[in-house]
Amino acid sequence: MRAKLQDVRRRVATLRRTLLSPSAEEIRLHLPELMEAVQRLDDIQNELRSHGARDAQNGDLAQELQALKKELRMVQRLIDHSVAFYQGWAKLFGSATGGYMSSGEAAPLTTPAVVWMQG
Amino acid sequence: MSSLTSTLVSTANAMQVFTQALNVVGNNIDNVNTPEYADQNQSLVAAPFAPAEGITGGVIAGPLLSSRSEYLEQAVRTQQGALGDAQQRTTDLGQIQPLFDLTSTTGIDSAINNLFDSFSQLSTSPNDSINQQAVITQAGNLAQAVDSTASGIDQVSTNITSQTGSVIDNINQIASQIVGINQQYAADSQATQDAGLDAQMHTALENLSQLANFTVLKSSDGAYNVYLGGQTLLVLGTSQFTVSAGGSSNQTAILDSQGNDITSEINQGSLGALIQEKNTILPGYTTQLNTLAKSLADTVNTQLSQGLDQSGTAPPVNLFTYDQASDAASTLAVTNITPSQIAAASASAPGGNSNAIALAALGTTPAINGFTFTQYYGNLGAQVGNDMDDAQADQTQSQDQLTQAETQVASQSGVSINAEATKLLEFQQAYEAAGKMVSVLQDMTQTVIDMVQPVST
Repeated sequence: MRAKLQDVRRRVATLRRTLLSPSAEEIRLHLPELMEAVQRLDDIQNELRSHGARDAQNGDLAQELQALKKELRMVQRLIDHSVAFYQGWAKLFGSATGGYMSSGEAAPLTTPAVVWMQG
Repeated sequence: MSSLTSTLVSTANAMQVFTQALNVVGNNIDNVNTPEYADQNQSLVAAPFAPAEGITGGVIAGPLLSSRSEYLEQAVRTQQGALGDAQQRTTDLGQIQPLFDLTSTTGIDSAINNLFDSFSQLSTSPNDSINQQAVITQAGNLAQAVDSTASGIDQVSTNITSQTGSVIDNINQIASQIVGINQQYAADSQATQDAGLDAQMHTALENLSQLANFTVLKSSDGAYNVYLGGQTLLVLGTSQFTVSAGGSSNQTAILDSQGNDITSEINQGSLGALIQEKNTILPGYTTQLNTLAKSLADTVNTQLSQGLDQSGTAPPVNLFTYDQASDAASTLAVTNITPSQIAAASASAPGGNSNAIALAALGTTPAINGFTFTQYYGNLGAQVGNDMDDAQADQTQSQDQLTQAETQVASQSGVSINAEATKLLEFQQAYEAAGKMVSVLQDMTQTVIDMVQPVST
Protein backbone atom coordinates (compact mmCIF):
# COMPACT_ATOMS: atom_id res chain seq x y z
CA MET A 1 0.00 0.00 0.00
CA ARG A 2 2.83 2.33 0.88
CA ALA A 3 4.56 1.56 -2.42
CA LYS A 4 1.40 2.56 -4.27
CA LEU A 5 1.23 5.81 -2.38
CA GLN A 6 4.88 6.49 -3.18
CA ASP A 7 4.10 5.83 -6.83
CA VAL A 8 1.27 8.38 -6.70
CA ARG A 9 3.53 10.93 -5.03
CA ARG A 10 6.26 10.33 -7.61
CA ARG A 11 3.81 11.06 -10.43
CA VAL A 12 2.56 14.22 -8.73
CA ALA A 13 6.14 15.37 -8.00
CA THR A 14 6.99 14.95 -11.68
CA LEU A 15 4.06 17.21 -12.55
CA ARG A 16 5.27 19.77 -9.99
CA ARG A 17 8.68 19.90 -11.64
CA THR A 18 7.07 20.27 -15.04
CA LEU A 19 4.88 23.12 -13.83
CA LEU A 20 7.94 25.22 -13.04
CA SER A 21 8.68 25.67 -16.71
CA PRO A 22 5.91 24.05 -18.72
CA SER A 23 4.49 24.09 -22.17
CA ALA A 24 0.81 23.32 -22.63
CA GLU A 25 1.80 20.15 -24.45
CA GLU A 26 3.95 18.96 -21.53
CA ILE A 27 1.09 19.49 -19.10
CA ARG A 28 -1.26 17.53 -21.35
CA LEU A 29 1.28 14.71 -21.56
CA HIS A 30 1.05 14.41 -17.78
CA LEU A 31 -2.68 13.85 -17.73
CA PRO A 32 -2.46 10.06 -18.32
CA GLU A 33 0.07 9.93 -15.46
CA LEU A 34 -2.45 11.64 -13.22
CA MET A 35 -5.15 9.22 -14.36
CA GLU A 36 -2.86 6.39 -13.26
CA ALA A 37 -2.39 8.13 -9.91
CA VAL A 38 -6.16 8.34 -9.49
CA GLN A 39 -6.40 4.62 -10.25
CA ARG A 40 -3.74 3.82 -7.61
CA LEU A 41 -5.60 5.80 -4.97
CA ASP A 42 -8.82 4.07 -5.95
CA ASP A 43 -7.09 0.70 -5.45
CA ILE A 44 -5.86 1.79 -2.03
CA GLN A 45 -9.35 2.88 -1.00
CA ASN A 46 -10.75 -0.48 -2.09
CA GLU A 47 -8.05 -2.35 -0.16
CA LEU A 48 -8.78 -0.34 2.96
CA ARG A 49 -12.51 -0.99 2.60
CA SER A 50 -12.11 -4.74 2.10
CA HIS A 51 -9.34 -5.42 4.65
CA GLY A 52 -10.23 -2.70 7.14
CA ALA A 53 -8.11 0.25 8.07
CA ARG A 54 -6.48 -1.49 11.02
CA ASP A 55 -3.83 -3.19 8.89
CA ALA A 56 -2.93 0.17 7.42
CA GLN A 57 -2.64 1.92 10.73
CA ASN A 58 1.04 2.49 11.00
CA GLY A 59 3.24 5.54 11.15
CA ASP A 60 4.86 5.00 7.76
CA LEU A 61 1.57 5.05 5.92
CA ALA A 62 0.33 8.12 7.76
CA GLN A 63 3.62 9.86 7.04
CA GLU A 64 3.42 8.96 3.36
CA LEU A 65 -0.16 10.23 3.18
CA GLN A 66 0.83 13.54 4.73
CA ALA A 67 3.73 13.84 2.28
CA LEU A 68 1.38 13.17 -0.63
CA LYS A 69 -1.11 15.70 0.70
CA LYS A 70 1.65 18.29 0.92
CA GLU A 71 2.88 17.51 -2.59
CA LEU A 72 -0.66 17.85 -3.97
CA ARG A 73 -1.13 21.14 -2.12
CA MET A 74 2.05 22.53 -3.69
CA VAL A 75 0.97 21.41 -7.17
CA GLN A 76 -2.47 22.91 -6.60
CA ARG A 77 -0.93 26.25 -5.64
CA LEU A 78 1.28 26.25 -8.73
CA ILE A 79 -1.76 25.55 -10.89
CA ASP A 80 -3.86 28.19 -9.11
CA HIS A 81 -1.07 30.70 -9.57
CA SER A 82 -0.78 29.91 -13.26
CA VAL A 83 -4.53 30.02 -13.83
CA ALA A 84 -4.69 33.45 -12.16
CA PHE A 85 -1.73 34.59 -14.21
CA TYR A 86 -3.22 33.50 -17.53
CA GLN A 87 -6.64 34.86 -16.65
CA GLY A 88 -5.07 38.28 -16.10
CA TRP A 89 -3.01 37.89 -19.22
CA ALA A 90 -6.12 36.95 -21.21
CA LYS A 91 -7.89 40.07 -19.97
CA LEU A 92 -4.97 42.21 -21.11
CA PHE A 93 -4.94 40.56 -24.51
CA GLY A 94 -8.70 40.65 -24.79
CA SER A 95 -8.84 44.38 -24.09
CA ALA A 96 -5.90 45.05 -26.37
CA THR A 97 -7.42 43.20 -29.30
CA GLY A 98 -11.17 43.51 -28.77
CA GLY A 99 -11.53 46.50 -26.48
CA TYR A 100 -14.09 46.50 -23.71
CA MET A 101 -17.69 45.31 -23.67
CA SER A 102 -20.60 47.48 -22.55
CA SER A 103 -20.40 45.81 -19.12
CA GLY A 104 -16.91 47.21 -18.69
CA GLU A 105 -15.30 43.79 -18.92
CA ALA A 106 -12.44 43.17 -21.30
CA ALA A 107 -13.52 41.56 -24.54
CA PRO A 108 -13.08 37.78 -24.55
CA LEU A 109 -9.89 36.55 -26.06
CA THR A 110 -10.26 35.03 -29.47
CA THR A 111 -7.76 33.15 -31.52
CA PRO A 112 -7.30 33.22 -35.24
CA ALA A 113 -8.87 30.22 -36.94
CA VAL A 114 -8.79 28.86 -40.44
CA VAL A 115 -11.62 26.73 -41.80
CA TRP A 116 -10.85 24.46 -44.73
CA MET A 117 -13.67 23.37 -46.94
CA GLN A 118 -13.12 20.65 -49.40
CA GLY A 119 -15.41 19.23 -52.03
CA MET B 1 10.91 65.54 -57.79
CA SER B 2 11.36 62.75 -60.29
CA SER B 3 10.20 59.28 -59.47
CA LEU B 4 13.82 58.13 -59.57
CA THR B 5 14.81 60.73 -56.98
CA SER B 6 11.78 59.80 -54.89
CA THR B 7 12.80 56.18 -54.98
CA LEU B 8 16.35 57.03 -53.96
CA VAL B 9 15.13 59.18 -51.04
CA SER B 10 12.77 56.44 -49.99
CA THR B 11 15.52 53.87 -50.17
CA ALA B 12 17.88 56.11 -48.22
CA ASN B 13 15.25 56.56 -45.50
CA ALA B 14 14.68 52.84 -45.35
CA MET B 15 18.40 52.18 -45.09
CA GLN B 16 18.63 54.63 -42.23
CA VAL B 17 15.68 53.06 -40.46
CA PHE B 18 16.98 49.54 -40.81
CA THR B 19 20.38 50.68 -39.55
CA GLN B 20 18.58 52.01 -36.49
CA ALA B 21 16.74 48.70 -36.12
CA LEU B 22 20.04 46.86 -36.35
CA ASN B 23 21.42 49.10 -33.62
CA VAL B 24 18.49 48.12 -31.42
CA VAL B 25 19.11 44.44 -32.09
CA GLY B 26 22.81 44.94 -31.38
CA ASN B 27 21.92 46.66 -28.14
CA ASN B 28 19.71 43.72 -27.19
CA ILE B 29 22.53 41.30 -27.85
CA ASP B 30 25.01 43.43 -25.89
CA ASN B 31 22.67 43.40 -22.93
CA VAL B 32 21.69 39.76 -23.05
CA ASN B 33 23.26 39.19 -19.63
CA THR B 34 22.23 42.50 -18.08
CA PRO B 35 19.91 41.84 -15.14
CA GLU B 36 16.40 43.11 -15.74
CA TYR B 37 17.16 44.21 -19.29
CA ALA B 38 14.10 43.93 -21.51
CA ASP B 39 14.39 43.45 -25.23
CA GLN B 40 13.63 46.57 -27.25
CA ASN B 41 11.88 46.35 -30.59
CA GLN B 42 12.22 49.02 -33.25
CA SER B 43 8.80 49.75 -34.68
CA LEU B 44 8.64 50.60 -38.38
CA VAL B 45 5.92 52.90 -39.66
CA ALA B 46 4.85 53.15 -43.30
CA ALA B 47 5.40 56.66 -44.63
CA PRO B 48 2.84 58.37 -46.91
CA PHE B 49 3.42 57.58 -50.57
CA ALA B 50 2.44 60.11 -53.24
CA PRO B 51 5.17 60.40 -55.91
CA ALA B 52 3.37 63.08 -57.87
CA GLU B 53 3.56 65.35 -54.88
CA GLY B 54 7.09 64.36 -53.97
CA ILE B 55 5.99 62.25 -51.04
CA THR B 56 8.43 59.39 -51.15
CA GLY B 57 6.80 56.65 -49.10
CA GLY B 58 8.95 53.93 -47.61
CA VAL B 59 9.34 53.39 -43.89
CA ILE B 60 10.31 55.59 -41.01
CA ALA B 61 11.30 54.64 -37.51
CA GLY B 62 8.58 54.77 -34.88
CA PRO B 63 9.13 54.90 -31.13
CA LEU B 64 10.95 52.08 -29.39
CA LEU B 65 8.56 49.56 -27.93
CA SER B 66 9.65 47.71 -24.88
CA SER B 67 8.49 44.14 -24.83
CA ARG B 68 8.41 44.36 -21.06
CA SER B 69 5.01 44.08 -19.61
CA GLU B 70 4.36 45.56 -16.22
CA TYR B 71 1.80 42.84 -15.71
CA LEU B 72 4.43 40.18 -16.10
CA GLU B 73 6.88 42.08 -13.93
CA GLN B 74 4.27 42.39 -11.21
CA ALA B 75 3.73 38.62 -11.28
CA VAL B 76 7.43 38.12 -10.56
CA ARG B 77 7.50 40.83 -7.89
CA THR B 78 4.55 39.24 -6.08
CA GLN B 79 6.44 35.97 -5.84
CA GLN B 80 9.62 37.77 -4.78
CA GLY B 81 7.62 39.23 -1.90
CA ALA B 82 6.27 35.84 -0.87
CA LEU B 83 9.76 34.37 -1.03
CA GLY B 84 11.26 37.23 1.03
CA ASP B 85 8.57 36.67 3.65
CA ALA B 86 9.14 32.90 3.85
CA GLN B 87 12.94 33.21 3.91
CA GLN B 88 12.80 35.68 6.77
CA ARG B 89 10.46 33.46 8.81
CA THR B 90 12.62 30.40 8.16
CA THR B 91 15.73 32.23 9.35
CA ASP B 92 14.17 33.69 12.50
CA LEU B 93 12.15 30.63 13.53
CA GLY B 94 15.32 28.63 12.99
CA GLN B 95 16.71 30.52 16.01
CA ILE B 96 13.58 29.87 18.09
CA GLN B 97 13.09 26.17 17.40
CA PRO B 98 16.22 24.94 19.32
CA LEU B 99 14.88 26.72 22.42
CA PHE B 100 11.94 24.30 22.38
CA ASP B 101 13.87 21.12 21.69
CA LEU B 102 11.69 18.41 23.25
CA THR B 103 14.50 15.86 23.08
CA SER B 104 16.95 17.95 25.11
CA THR B 105 17.94 16.72 28.57
CA THR B 106 18.46 20.28 29.78
CA GLY B 107 15.24 21.80 28.46
CA ILE B 108 11.97 22.68 30.13
CA ASP B 109 10.36 19.34 29.35
CA SER B 110 12.92 17.27 31.27
CA ALA B 111 13.16 19.93 34.02
CA ILE B 112 9.41 19.58 34.70
CA ASN B 113 9.70 15.80 34.83
CA ASN B 114 12.75 16.01 37.11
CA LEU B 115 10.94 18.33 39.53
CA PHE B 116 7.96 15.99 39.90
CA ASP B 117 10.32 13.00 40.12
CA SER B 118 12.04 14.78 43.02
CA PHE B 119 8.68 15.13 44.80
CA SER B 120 8.12 11.41 44.22
CA GLN B 121 11.56 10.66 45.65
CA LEU B 122 10.78 12.91 48.63
CA SER B 123 7.66 10.88 49.36
CA THR B 124 9.83 7.79 49.93
CA SER B 125 11.77 9.51 52.69
CA PRO B 126 10.11 12.84 53.52
CA ASN B 127 12.55 14.00 56.17
CA ASP B 128 15.72 13.14 54.26
CA SER B 129 17.61 16.40 53.77
CA ILE B 130 19.14 15.12 50.51
CA ASN B 131 15.66 14.55 49.05
CA GLN B 132 14.52 17.93 50.35
CA GLN B 133 17.53 19.64 48.77
CA ALA B 134 16.90 17.77 45.50
CA VAL B 135 13.46 19.37 45.28
CA ILE B 136 14.99 22.85 45.62
CA THR B 137 17.72 22.01 43.10
CA GLN B 138 15.26 20.68 40.52
CA ALA B 139 12.98 23.67 41.06
CA GLY B 140 15.99 25.90 40.43
CA ASN B 141 16.84 23.97 37.24
CA LEU B 142 13.29 24.36 36.02
CA ALA B 143 13.25 28.09 36.74
CA GLN B 144 16.57 28.46 34.92
CA ALA B 145 15.33 26.48 31.90
CA VAL B 146 12.18 28.62 31.67
CA ASP B 147 14.18 31.84 32.11
CA SER B 148 16.66 30.73 29.47
CA THR B 149 13.91 30.01 26.94
CA ALA B 150 12.16 33.31 27.69
CA SER B 151 15.39 35.28 27.32
CA GLY B 152 16.16 33.38 24.09
CA ILE B 153 12.84 34.55 22.66
CA ASP B 154 13.57 38.08 23.89
CA GLN B 155 16.95 38.00 22.17
CA VAL B 156 15.42 36.96 18.84
CA SER B 157 12.80 39.68 19.32
CA THR B 158 15.55 42.26 19.84
CA ASN B 159 17.35 41.02 16.72
CA ILE B 160 14.10 41.39 14.79
CA THR B 161 13.81 45.01 15.88
CA SER B 162 17.33 45.62 14.67
CA GLN B 163 16.67 43.86 11.35
CA THR B 164 13.48 45.86 10.89
CA GLY B 165 15.53 49.06 11.10
CA SER B 166 17.92 47.75 8.45
CA VAL B 167 15.08 46.74 6.14
CA ILE B 168 13.46 50.16 6.52
CA ASP B 169 16.82 51.77 5.65
CA ASN B 170 17.03 49.57 2.54
CA ILE B 171 13.50 50.50 1.50
CA ASN B 172 14.29 54.20 1.77
CA GLN B 173 17.54 53.69 -0.12
CA ILE B 174 15.79 51.89 -2.98
CA ALA B 175 13.11 54.61 -3.04
CA SER B 176 15.94 57.11 -3.42
CA GLN B 177 17.30 55.16 -6.43
CA ILE B 178 13.85 55.16 -8.03
CA VAL B 179 13.56 58.92 -7.48
CA GLY B 180 16.99 59.33 -9.10
CA ILE B 181 15.84 57.47 -12.22
CA ASN B 182 12.57 59.42 -12.29
CA GLN B 183 14.62 62.62 -12.20
CA GLN B 184 16.47 61.49 -15.32
CA TYR B 185 13.14 60.76 -16.99
CA ALA B 186 11.91 64.23 -16.00
CA ALA B 187 15.05 65.92 -17.28
CA ASP B 188 15.06 64.19 -20.65
CA SER B 189 11.97 62.64 -22.23
CA GLN B 190 14.20 60.41 -24.39
CA ALA B 191 15.49 58.80 -21.19
CA THR B 192 12.23 56.84 -20.89
CA GLN B 193 13.44 54.85 -23.90
CA ASP B 194 16.84 54.16 -22.38
CA ALA B 195 16.96 50.40 -21.91
CA GLY B 196 19.76 50.72 -19.35
CA LEU B 197 17.72 53.04 -17.15
CA ASP B 198 14.72 50.77 -17.59
CA ALA B 199 16.80 47.82 -16.38
CA GLN B 200 17.98 49.83 -13.36
CA MET B 201 14.42 50.77 -12.51
CA HIS B 202 13.17 47.19 -12.65
CA THR B 203 16.12 45.90 -10.66
CA ALA B 204 15.27 48.45 -7.97
CA LEU B 205 11.61 47.40 -8.02
CA GLU B 206 12.51 43.70 -7.77
CA ASN B 207 14.84 44.40 -4.85
CA LEU B 208 12.07 46.36 -3.17
CA SER B 209 9.61 43.52 -3.69
CA GLN B 210 11.78 41.22 -1.57
CA LEU B 211 11.45 43.68 1.29
CA ALA B 212 7.77 44.68 1.25
CA ASN B 213 4.55 44.63 -0.77
CA PHE B 214 3.81 47.66 -2.92
CA THR B 215 2.08 48.72 -6.09
CA VAL B 216 3.58 50.66 -8.97
CA LEU B 217 1.84 53.08 -11.26
CA LYS B 218 3.64 54.43 -14.28
CA SER B 219 2.68 58.00 -15.07
CA SER B 220 2.35 59.41 -18.56
CA ASP B 221 5.75 61.12 -18.34
CA GLY B 222 7.38 57.72 -17.74
CA ALA B 223 7.97 58.20 -14.01
CA TYR B 224 7.28 55.29 -11.66
CA ASN B 225 5.16 56.05 -8.59
CA VAL B 226 5.46 53.55 -5.77
CA TYR B 227 2.83 52.96 -3.08
CA LEU B 228 4.06 50.95 -0.11
CA GLY B 229 1.46 48.44 1.04
CA GLY B 230 -0.64 49.60 -1.90
CA GLN B 231 -1.70 52.87 -0.27
CA THR B 232 1.21 54.77 1.25
CA LEU B 233 3.22 56.99 -1.04
CA LEU B 234 6.88 56.06 -1.11
CA VAL B 235 7.81 57.66 -4.42
CA LEU B 236 5.81 60.19 -6.42
CA GLY B 237 7.72 61.31 -9.47
CA THR B 238 10.84 63.03 -8.21
CA SER B 239 9.66 63.19 -4.58
CA GLN B 240 10.49 60.61 -1.94
CA PHE B 241 8.43 59.97 1.18
CA THR B 242 10.56 58.19 3.76
CA VAL B 243 9.15 55.57 6.08
CA SER B 244 10.44 54.78 9.54
CA ALA B 245 10.18 52.15 12.26
CA GLY B 246 8.57 52.94 15.57
CA GLY B 247 6.64 51.18 18.29
CA SER B 248 7.73 49.75 21.61
CA SER B 249 10.25 47.08 22.54
CA ASN B 250 7.47 44.48 22.24
CA GLN B 251 5.68 45.74 19.15
CA THR B 252 6.87 47.06 15.81
CA ALA B 253 5.12 49.93 14.10
CA ILE B 254 5.90 51.20 10.60
CA LEU B 255 5.26 54.88 10.13
CA ASP B 256 4.80 56.89 6.95
CA SER B 257 6.44 60.26 6.32
CA GLN B 258 3.66 61.96 8.29
CA GLY B 259 4.08 59.62 11.25
CA ASN B 260 0.90 57.67 10.51
CA ASP B 261 0.90 54.00 11.47
CA ILE B 262 0.89 51.89 8.28
CA THR B 263 1.93 48.59 9.90
CA SER B 264 -1.22 46.73 8.89
CA GLU B 265 -0.60 47.51 5.20
CA ILE B 266 2.73 45.64 5.13
CA ASN B 267 2.09 41.92 4.78
CA GLN B 268 4.68 40.64 2.34
CA GLY B 269 8.43 40.57 1.90
CA SER B 270 10.94 40.33 4.71
CA LEU B 271 9.42 43.39 6.41
CA GLY B 272 6.00 41.70 6.43
CA ALA B 273 7.57 38.63 8.06
CA LEU B 274 9.47 40.71 10.64
CA ILE B 275 6.27 42.51 11.63
CA GLN B 276 4.34 39.25 11.93
CA GLU B 277 7.08 37.66 14.02
CA LYS B 278 7.50 40.64 16.31
CA ASN B 279 3.82 41.47 16.79
CA THR B 280 2.15 38.08 16.64
CA ILE B 281 4.30 34.95 16.56
CA LEU B 282 6.84 35.64 19.31
CA PRO B 283 4.34 37.26 21.71
CA GLY B 284 2.19 34.14 21.24
CA TYR B 285 5.06 31.89 22.34
CA THR B 286 5.90 34.18 25.26
CA THR B 287 2.30 34.29 26.45
CA GLN B 288 2.09 30.50 26.51
CA LEU B 289 5.43 30.25 28.29
CA ASN B 290 4.21 32.77 30.88
CA THR B 291 1.02 30.76 31.34
CA LEU B 292 3.07 27.62 31.92
CA ALA B 293 5.45 29.32 34.37
CA LYS B 294 2.68 31.03 36.36
CA SER B 295 0.43 27.99 36.48
CA LEU B 296 3.21 25.63 37.49
CA ALA B 297 4.56 27.98 40.17
CA ASP B 298 1.09 28.73 41.58
CA THR B 299 0.04 25.07 41.57
CA VAL B 300 3.18 23.84 43.34
CA ASN B 301 3.20 26.76 45.80
CA THR B 302 -0.47 26.20 46.66
CA GLN B 303 0.05 22.48 47.30
CA LEU B 304 3.15 23.15 49.42
CA SER B 305 1.30 25.79 51.46
CA GLN B 306 -1.33 23.20 52.39
CA GLY B 307 1.27 20.89 53.99
CA LEU B 308 3.57 20.92 56.99
CA ASP B 309 7.36 21.09 56.90
CA GLN B 310 9.84 19.05 58.90
CA SER B 311 9.21 21.13 62.04
CA GLY B 312 5.45 20.47 61.78
CA THR B 313 4.52 24.00 60.81
CA ALA B 314 3.19 25.53 57.62
CA PRO B 315 6.11 26.58 55.38
CA PRO B 316 6.89 30.30 55.85
CA VAL B 317 7.89 30.85 52.21
CA ASN B 318 6.86 29.60 48.77
CA LEU B 319 9.14 27.47 46.59
CA PHE B 320 8.69 29.56 43.45
CA THR B 321 8.40 33.29 42.91
CA TYR B 322 7.81 35.52 39.87
CA ASP B 323 7.10 39.21 39.38
CA GLN B 324 3.77 39.22 37.55
CA ALA B 325 1.70 37.08 35.20
CA SER B 326 2.83 38.98 32.12
CA ASP B 327 6.53 38.20 32.68
CA ALA B 328 6.28 35.05 34.80
CA ALA B 329 8.61 33.08 32.51
CA SER B 330 11.47 35.58 32.51
CA THR B 331 11.25 36.25 36.27
CA LEU B 332 10.56 32.72 37.53
CA ALA B 333 12.95 31.89 40.38
CA VAL B 334 13.31 29.84 43.53
CA THR B 335 12.94 31.68 46.84
CA ASN B 336 15.38 31.40 49.75
CA ILE B 337 13.43 28.42 51.07
CA THR B 338 15.55 25.94 53.04
CA PRO B 339 15.42 22.12 52.67
CA SER B 340 13.71 21.64 56.04
CA GLN B 341 10.92 24.03 54.95
CA ILE B 342 9.77 21.76 52.11
CA ALA B 343 6.31 20.64 53.26
CA ALA B 344 6.24 16.89 52.60
CA ALA B 345 3.57 16.11 55.20
CA SER B 346 -0.10 16.90 55.07
CA ALA B 347 -1.74 18.98 57.79
CA SER B 348 -3.61 15.93 59.01
CA ALA B 349 -0.50 13.72 59.31
CA PRO B 350 2.55 15.68 60.51
CA GLY B 351 5.86 13.99 59.76
CA GLY B 352 4.28 11.92 56.96
CA ASN B 353 4.60 11.96 53.17
CA SER B 354 1.04 12.69 52.01
CA ASN B 355 1.78 16.14 50.70
CA ALA B 356 4.87 14.90 48.83
CA ILE B 357 2.67 12.26 47.16
CA ALA B 358 0.12 14.96 46.26
CA LEU B 359 2.93 17.13 44.86
CA ALA B 360 4.26 14.26 42.74
CA ALA B 361 0.73 13.62 41.43
CA LEU B 362 0.55 17.17 40.09
CA GLY B 363 2.90 16.06 37.32
CA THR B 364 0.24 13.83 35.81
CA THR B 365 -2.80 15.97 36.61
CA PRO B 366 -4.36 18.18 33.92
CA ALA B 367 -3.54 21.74 34.95
CA ILE B 368 -3.81 24.06 31.93
CA ASN B 369 -6.71 23.81 29.50
CA GLY B 370 -7.06 20.12 30.27
CA PHE B 371 -3.36 19.37 29.71
CA THR B 372 -0.66 18.38 32.17
CA PHE B 373 2.34 20.72 32.41
CA THR B 374 4.49 18.53 30.15
CA GLN B 375 1.66 18.10 27.64
CA TYR B 376 1.08 21.84 27.56
CA TYR B 377 4.77 22.49 26.98
CA GLY B 378 4.82 19.69 24.37
CA ASN B 379 1.98 21.42 22.52
CA LEU B 380 3.91 24.68 22.55
CA GLY B 381 7.02 22.95 21.23
CA ALA B 382 4.93 21.27 18.53
CA GLN B 383 3.44 24.62 17.55
CA VAL B 384 6.93 26.10 17.14
CA GLY B 385 7.90 23.08 15.06
CA ASN B 386 4.81 23.41 12.89
CA ASP B 387 5.43 27.13 12.37
CA MET B 388 8.97 26.29 11.26
CA ASP B 389 7.72 23.54 8.94
CA ASP B 390 5.18 25.94 7.45
CA ALA B 391 7.86 28.57 6.87
CA GLN B 392 10.12 26.04 5.16
CA ALA B 393 7.25 24.72 3.03
CA ASP B 394 6.30 28.30 2.12
CA GLN B 395 9.90 28.98 1.16
CA THR B 396 10.02 25.94 -1.13
CA GLN B 397 6.62 26.82 -2.57
CA SER B 398 7.51 30.48 -3.09
CA GLN B 399 10.77 29.53 -4.77
CA ASP B 400 8.83 27.23 -7.11
CA GLN B 401 6.27 29.93 -7.89
CA LEU B 402 9.00 32.49 -8.48
CA THR B 403 10.71 30.13 -10.90
CA GLN B 404 7.37 29.60 -12.61
CA ALA B 405 6.66 33.33 -12.83
CA GLU B 406 10.13 34.07 -14.22
CA THR B 407 9.61 31.38 -16.84
CA GLN B 408 6.27 32.90 -17.76
CA VAL B 409 7.90 36.31 -18.16
CA ALA B 410 10.65 34.91 -20.35
CA SER B 411 8.17 33.02 -22.51
CA GLN B 412 5.97 36.05 -23.18
CA SER B 413 8.55 38.24 -24.93
CA GLY B 414 8.74 38.81 -28.65
CA VAL B 415 5.75 36.75 -29.72
CA SER B 416 3.03 37.91 -32.07
CA ILE B 417 -0.38 38.59 -30.56
CA ASN B 418 -2.05 35.82 -32.56
CA ALA B 419 0.53 33.25 -31.56
CA GLU B 420 0.38 34.51 -27.99
CA ALA B 421 -3.42 34.28 -27.82
CA THR B 422 -3.37 30.74 -29.17
CA LYS B 423 -0.71 29.68 -26.68
CA LEU B 424 -2.60 31.36 -23.87
CA LEU B 425 -5.80 29.45 -24.58
CA GLU B 426 -3.88 26.19 -24.83
CA PHE B 427 -2.35 26.86 -21.45
CA GLN B 428 -5.71 27.69 -19.92
CA GLN B 429 -7.18 24.42 -21.16
CA ALA B 430 -4.17 22.39 -20.03
CA TYR B 431 -4.17 23.95 -16.56
CA GLU B 432 -7.90 23.49 -16.24
CA ALA B 433 -7.59 19.79 -17.02
CA ALA B 434 -4.60 19.28 -14.71
CA GLY B 435 -6.32 21.30 -11.97
CA LYS B 436 -9.39 19.05 -12.09
CA MET B 437 -7.25 15.93 -11.86
CA VAL B 438 -5.27 17.30 -8.94
CA SER B 439 -8.50 18.26 -7.21
CA VAL B 440 -9.76 14.68 -7.58
CA LEU B 441 -6.44 13.38 -6.22
CA GLN B 442 -6.69 15.72 -3.24
CA ASP B 443 -10.19 14.52 -2.43
CA MET B 444 -9.17 10.88 -2.72
CA THR B 445 -6.07 11.41 -0.58
CA GLN B 446 -8.16 13.07 2.11
CA THR B 447 -10.57 10.12 2.01
CA VAL B 448 -7.68 7.70 2.56
CA ILE B 449 -6.33 9.90 5.38
CA ASP B 450 -9.76 9.86 7.02
CA MET B 451 -9.86 6.07 6.72
CA VAL B 452 -6.61 5.74 8.70
CA GLN B 453 -7.29 8.82 10.82
CA PRO B 454 -6.63 7.28 14.26
CA VAL B 455 -2.96 6.96 13.40
CA SER B 456 -2.42 10.08 11.35
CA THR B 457 -3.64 12.48 14.04
